[in-house]
This record gives sequence, structure tokens and C-alpha cells, in this order.
Amino acid sequence: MITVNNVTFNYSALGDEDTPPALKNVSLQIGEGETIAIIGHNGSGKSTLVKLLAAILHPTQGEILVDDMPTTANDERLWAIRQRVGIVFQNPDDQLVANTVIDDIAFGPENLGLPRHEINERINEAMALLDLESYASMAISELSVGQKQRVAIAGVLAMRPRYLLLDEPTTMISGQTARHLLATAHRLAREQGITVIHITHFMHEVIDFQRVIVMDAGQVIMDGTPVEVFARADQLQAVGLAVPMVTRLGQRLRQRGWSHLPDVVLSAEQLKVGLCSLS
Amino acid sequence: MIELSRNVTFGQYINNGSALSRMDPRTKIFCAILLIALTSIVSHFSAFALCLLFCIALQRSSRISTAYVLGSFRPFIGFLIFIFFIEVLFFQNPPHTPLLWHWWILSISTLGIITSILTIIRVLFLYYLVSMLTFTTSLVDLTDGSEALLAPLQRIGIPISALVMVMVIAFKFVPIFVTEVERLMKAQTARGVRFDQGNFIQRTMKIAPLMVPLFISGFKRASVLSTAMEARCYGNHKGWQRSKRRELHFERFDAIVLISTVSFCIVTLLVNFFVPI
Amino acid sequence: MLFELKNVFHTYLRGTPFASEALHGLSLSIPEQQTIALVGPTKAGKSTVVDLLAGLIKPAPGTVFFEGNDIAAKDFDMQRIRTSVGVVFQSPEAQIFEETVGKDVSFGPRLKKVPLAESRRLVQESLEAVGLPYEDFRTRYTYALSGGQKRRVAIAGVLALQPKVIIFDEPAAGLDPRGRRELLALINTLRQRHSMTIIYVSSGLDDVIEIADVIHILYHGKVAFSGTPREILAHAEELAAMDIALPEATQIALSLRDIIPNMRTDVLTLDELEHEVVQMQSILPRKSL
Repeated sequence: MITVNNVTFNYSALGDEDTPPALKNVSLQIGEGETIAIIGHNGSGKSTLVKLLAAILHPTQGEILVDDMPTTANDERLWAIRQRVGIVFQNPDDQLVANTVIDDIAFGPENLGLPRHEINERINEAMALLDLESYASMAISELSVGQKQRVAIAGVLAMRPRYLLLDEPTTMISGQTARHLLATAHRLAREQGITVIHITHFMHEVIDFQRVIVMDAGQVIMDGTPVEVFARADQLQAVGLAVPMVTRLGQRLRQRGWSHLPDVVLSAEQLKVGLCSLS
Repeated sequence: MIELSRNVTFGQYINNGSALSRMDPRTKIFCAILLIALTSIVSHFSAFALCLLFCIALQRSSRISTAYVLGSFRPFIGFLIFIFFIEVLFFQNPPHTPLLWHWWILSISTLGIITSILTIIRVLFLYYLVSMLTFTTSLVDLTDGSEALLAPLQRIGIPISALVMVMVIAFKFVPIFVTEVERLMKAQTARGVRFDQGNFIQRTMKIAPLMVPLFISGFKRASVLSTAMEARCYGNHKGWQRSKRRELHFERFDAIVLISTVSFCIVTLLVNFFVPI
Repeated sequence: MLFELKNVFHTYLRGTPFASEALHGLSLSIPEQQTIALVGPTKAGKSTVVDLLAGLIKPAPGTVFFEGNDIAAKDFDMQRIRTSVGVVFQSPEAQIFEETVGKDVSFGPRLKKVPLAESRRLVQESLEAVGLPYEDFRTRYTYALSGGQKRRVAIAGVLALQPKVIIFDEPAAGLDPRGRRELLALINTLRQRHSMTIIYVSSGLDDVIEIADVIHILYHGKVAFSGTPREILAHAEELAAMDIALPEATQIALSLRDIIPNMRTDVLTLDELEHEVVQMQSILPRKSL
């Protein structure tokens, strides 16, 4: 469980009066095994929030507890938090350390001081979860961006984290690869019970998550299921976010009296099922 | 001009399965250092001839194309010739040395020529040995080997593994920065900068505007990377002890090579000091 | 015709063990005063085409004509292309290196030894064209700008060269939806108010579908097919197979083809999509749930 208690964060070290805080009095709870998408524009505070959850930044006010340990701890609890909370950033080149795939995935377990046989076990585990077995001895510089991202995730999974934070991981990869990445994240949540928190600014990426948190100007303005959030299209539009076109299409068709469609259509698949059902 | 990566063949490891490439890196590094030291000490023609024979034997056992290795000397030759002339001309002759020619502070003497040739020979051997080391040893082997050899220093407080980590990451970023410089050069070329014109100084000045964005980008990356490393639990904290997945194995072949190299060095030294010209 | 490319091939790092062929017989034409989009997945050869059009590389083999002149001709000076073609590369804000906005934007004109008064005018016009008021931004420090502002300054720097054509190389990459909208609005202003010739290179169709006059689909170093936006969208199935991002309306229409086989995919807006679905409703297969 991660608890965020009345957290405010200001980037300006001197507490410059002119710069608004990046996060204003945010409170949340994140349970085990949840899949959460956090959406908002650049500057909404979502990246700041995720860095605070990973104990990379400390709150200016308020506190964050990861499994009852404060992120501001500077004893062995901090390192326990670092092991439990894994984070993957946008650009895999800025996270990968070693030359080959297998050496990079080993980096985390090596830092934990694990014995050799366990390191190898964890590497094999992580590679299996991300279909990287055939890439094991390849040089990272020869991989595509999507493959590198998978290596970055594997490197984090080798630490056996409880929480996996994905900070806009699809920014540099396109279409199919991005979809594949998200499918992998959902599978990890289902099969391994890892809590997955995905930060994004693309509305279409949030539909398969259990919970969607919408942020704007440093505050949480919505927190609910995708259906609950997409139903409030006007409010989303007011902060510059648009519901996917398929949802708007569903709305319009319902306005024409096509009541066999669900109230809130999340995806083209749902639309198809709805269209085929009897009114 | 655009394809910088063509010219950056920095320490390219050639994985051809030869016995050399499979050796324990500690042995290779140690022997390389011994041989470099040897060539720096000896000055006798016959000693250098022996070293040359050793290098030929090394070349054959590496199974790397000789043409390729000699080709890697090419960018270097012009610079060497330049250094040779400078050394000869500025050589500090001890008093009463017969001079073949002199003008102002420049001079040419037989002693100067011979000494400069010696230097050039040593530099060539050094370059060859270092190149062969990098051609036959993968980067991870090099860093593991260096770390192992320098491990005793760790016990007296010098942070060897941290320094090695810094080097590994620096090497990793070389191709990434080459790509970035290429990108920046393209953008500046599109704004009218002509990198292929002008003398050496003018061309260097043109690189200057690229440095600012490159440094900024470098610092940003370093910041993200160090955060990512900490997030994977890298960092000095109480009781922190890193383990290692890779193991180095000192095998029979390594012992043979080590003993051969040491013996060779002793023989060559003897030849150098005791055989008359 | 501004550019004509005929059967162009190009190989990177030719002659080294790392050689890779980027263009395999590509042919296309770029007329003036139009917005041309070049769309293709990664490794389709888009960056190579940009390098070619920017005068940075030459075709090997193949012919490229610039304003009717063969660029491989002995007396052709590549600088002619470089001064007429402005390029805004990916993440252009990363290229800014001068201290102040004014100095960075005037870098190009200064290099061309444009007299001071003229240079000032160019800087002013360029900054106004990108929506940054001249007096306000001229002396601002570049490092104190936001990402979006830096991007605009970089674009102004290219405009100050008074190019005949501007190439935008995946300018929306990594931008959030709001940033993308602002960028497209800016490009639209350049198109419409200033009648500039624009070449927009992208890996997805969602950006270009509204602003392009002609779209060329690049695949494996060749032009797979070309046409107006609507004509291109009719090829939705092929495009999806090439992993080219489709605009939302087309994506939905393509998906609906599973149940409505004749569904048109060349729909550009929600209105058109809605209209299509309503029209097709009579032939929807009905299943009881």
C-alpha cells in the first residue's frame, strides 16, 4: 500500500513565490495489485507525483508512505523502498547501464548483493516475463527502442518490485510496440500481482486500467474507473483533455436513440459488440 | 562529414573465437602492460627485432586480418611523421655533439635522429599492443579484468569499482554522443554552417556552438541515468556490498601465455643489455 | 517543380561492415506552395529523404533535380539547396546554443553576412510569425524559456533564413496533445498566411491528415503509394499492416469493417464517421445477447 498524505511539492528550492507548486495538497491511496493510469498534460504534476512515489524527490510538505515506510527515510528503509518500487522512464538509453542485455538485467540484483545463482535465476525469470530470452547476449546498442524498453523493464523486474511505475514509457515508441508494452504491463499485474502505475498523456492508453486518475495544475481532479472518468467529457475538455473519438461517437449514437449501446463506450471493440446487439 | 560513426572505430572488439579472445582478460592486460614496459626499456636493434617477432606470433594467433590491423594505423601515420620532425628539430643535443645542420634553435644531429626513431618505434609498439588488446577483448572483459587487477587498491580506500563503473558508462555513451553530434551538425549545416570549409582553427571554432547543446544534453542524461541507477539500488549505503554475476576463469592456456610472456621479456632484456651490437 | 527525385538509392556507411541501405529506388516530386507529407514507419527511409532534400547527402545512384538542375552536375553548388531549404529537425529546442533569443534567431542571417538592419527585420518577422512578440522575446535568455517557447524560437531561427521550403522532421514527436495542437496551428499559419512550401515528415497520419495537400507513403525505402488525404485513408488496411498510425476516425472505421465489410475508411471527422455508421445501420448483423 502506498499512501500519499497532503503532499505539496515545489520545484523551486528557494520557495520562489512566483512559481506555482508542481503539486498542491494531493492525497491518495494505492492498494496492492491495482492497475492505475495517471493522465494529464505536461505540467499537470503527474511526472512529479510519480517521482515522489519512487522516493526520487521528497515532498516539500506532507508525506508519502510506501508499505508504512516514509520516503524521506535515509536509513536502510530508503533502500527497501527503492527495491519495492521500480520505475521505468521514457528513454531507455538513459536507464540502461551495461553493454549486453544480460549484464544490464543483472545490474539490479548485483546491487542487492545477491549470490550468483540467485542473480542468474532472477535474470532468467525477468527475461521470460518479457520474451527476451533470445536477446540475452546481444549488445543493447543493436536493439530497437521498443526492445530496449523491455530490457529496462526486465532490469526493474529482476529486483522483484511490488510496485511498477511507468513514466510515459510509450513516448518514444509507436503503435504496435506501444500496445505490446501495455499488454505486458497488464499481464504482469494479473500474473505477478504487481501494482502497475502508468503515466501517460494519451487517453486511449487508459481504457484497460482499473483506475484512472486525472491531474491538472498540480491537483487530482478525477479518480475513478475509465467509464466514470470518460462520462465526464465536459470536465475533461475544460482541462484540455479529450475523450477518445469512439466514446464521443457512442454518445452521439445514443443521442439518436440507439439505446442498445453502453452509456460510455471505451473502445471500438465495445462499440462493435454494442452495435450488434438487439435494441 | 555526416557519417561520423564511420570514423569512430574505437576499440572495436572482433569476436572470432580465437584462443586470444577467449583468454582471461586479467592475463591479457597484465601481459600487455609487461610488453609495453619492455619496449619502453630496450633500445637495442636485436631486442626490437625479437619484439617484432613476438608481435607477428601474436598477430597470427589472433586470427584477425593483418590488413585490417595495419589499416587502423593509417589515421595515425601522418601525426607520427609530424612528431618525428618536431622531435628531431627540437632535440636538445648535449654540448659538443656534432650537428649536421642548424638554424636558430632548430638543429639536426645523428643522435637526434636515432633517438627520435627509437621513440617512434616505441610508440608504434604501444599503439599495436593496445589495439590488439582492444581487438581481442570485449569491453565487459576489459572492465572486469581491470577491476580485478586493481582490486588491491580498493582495500586502501581508492574506489576502483566506482571508477570502473564510470568508465563503462562513458564508453556506453560514446556512440550515443556521436549520433547526437551528427544530429547537431546536420541542424547547424541546415542553418548555413560549413563544416567542411576553412583551415583547422576555423573548423574547430565551428564545432564550438555544438558543445553547448551537447553538454546540456550530457548533463541531463547523466542526471536521469544516475537517478535510474539509484532506483535500482546502486549507491553507497551502510553495509552495501555489490556482488557480480560474471566470473573470470584463469585456465591452463592463460598460465602458458603468462609464463611465455614473462620468459620472453627476460630473454629480450638479456639480449638488449648483454649482446654487443 | 521544386524537387524531383528519380529512382534514388542511398546506403549509409557504404563499404563498412555496418552498411545499411536506406533508399531503394525512391521517386517523388515536390511542387511549390503546397504542403507535402512523407509518412512511413521507422526505417522507411524518411530521415534519408530529409538529408537528401536538405542538401546534406547525394543520391548513390539516382538523380535529384532541384529547380530543374541536376544536383550531381559538376557545376552545381550544394549550398544553393542548403540556403533555400530550411529544416526543423526533431526536438529542435535541443539545438539552441546562443544566450538570448535574438542572438539565436539571427545566427543564420549573421552567417550569411546579412547587414544589421536587414537582420533585425528578419528576426522580428520570424519571431512574429511563430507567435512570440519581438520586443518581449528578443532579449530573453534562451535557457529560461519553456519547452514550447524554445521550439518556437528554433523554428524562428529557420524562418530567418528565408527558405523557399521548410522541412519539418517529425516535429510532434514526444509532444503531449496540447503541444501537438499548438504546433499544428503554427504550421497552419505558416501555410496559409505566408504561403510557404512545407514538407512534413511523420510516422503517423494523425498530424498530417488535416494540413497536407498530398501524402506520400514511404515503406522500405520506396514510395508505396501517394494521394490526397482522403485517397490515402482509403488504404487503411494496408497502412495498418505497415504499422503507420491512423487518425482516430479511420481507426474506428477500419475496426468496424469486421461487422460492416463495406465501411468507408476515408472519413476525416467525427461527423462523417457518424454519418457513415448511421447509413450502414440497416445492414448491421443483429445478434441477441
